[in-house]
Amino acid sequence: MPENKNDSKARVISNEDYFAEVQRILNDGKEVRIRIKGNSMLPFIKDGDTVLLKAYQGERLALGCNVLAKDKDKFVFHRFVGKKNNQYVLAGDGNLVLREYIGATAIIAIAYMHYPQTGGEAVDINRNWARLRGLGWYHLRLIRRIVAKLKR
Amino acid sequence: MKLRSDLVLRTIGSDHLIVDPSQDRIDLSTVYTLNSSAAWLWEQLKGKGFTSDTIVDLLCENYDVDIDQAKSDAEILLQDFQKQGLLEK
Repeated sequence: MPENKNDSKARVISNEDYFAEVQRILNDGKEVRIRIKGNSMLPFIKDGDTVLLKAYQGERLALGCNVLAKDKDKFVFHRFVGKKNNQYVLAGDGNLVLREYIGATAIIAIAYMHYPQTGGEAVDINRNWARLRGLGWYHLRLIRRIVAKLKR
Repeated sequence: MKLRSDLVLRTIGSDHLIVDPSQDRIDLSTVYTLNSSAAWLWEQLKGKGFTSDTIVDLLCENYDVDIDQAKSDAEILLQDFQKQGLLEK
């Protein structure tokens, strides 16, 4: 009958349905805490960590902030790394090549806090230092690619 | 006993989630879901005082289960509601 998401029997809710609910709550002016799946935001955000989101309301995005966005039919939680041809460029910290190019309307929310799954201290990921560190990491992509190739 | 009145059941697609909409900060990182029969029971029990026997009666009246199975299901459901903090204190 009841199913606790914390146990090994956790069910998967479709992304479309889940994020529709996230968006509905954000539209009510509330903050939402969600769990990050996957490793695309390594090394800063790990699979299973949670982040606190606030709705994006068209304000100027600070470079290096982490956003939840819809890229075509897929929801992504990636870093805003720049603008090109009037489009917002997003990149996962853990990705070496891939970028997403999206319009402002595709941005759903901005992340403010990061809660590591390990129980470590919550981090304000929208503060200058965290954004700059992430942006610096993004601009090291070429070097990271070379290192990754050498490691193979 | 009573279900917590500050919680609501939200149906998302084919899933039933218990959320606390009264807070300004809603935690969807750990969600508590119910299957359709538990969700139906939630709706029946909402806002009322009830006992384990209430659940057994509801199950027997509406599902094809014998009384022993209904008692066992009611017990599991209540233990879980208790464990997850879904009942009023």
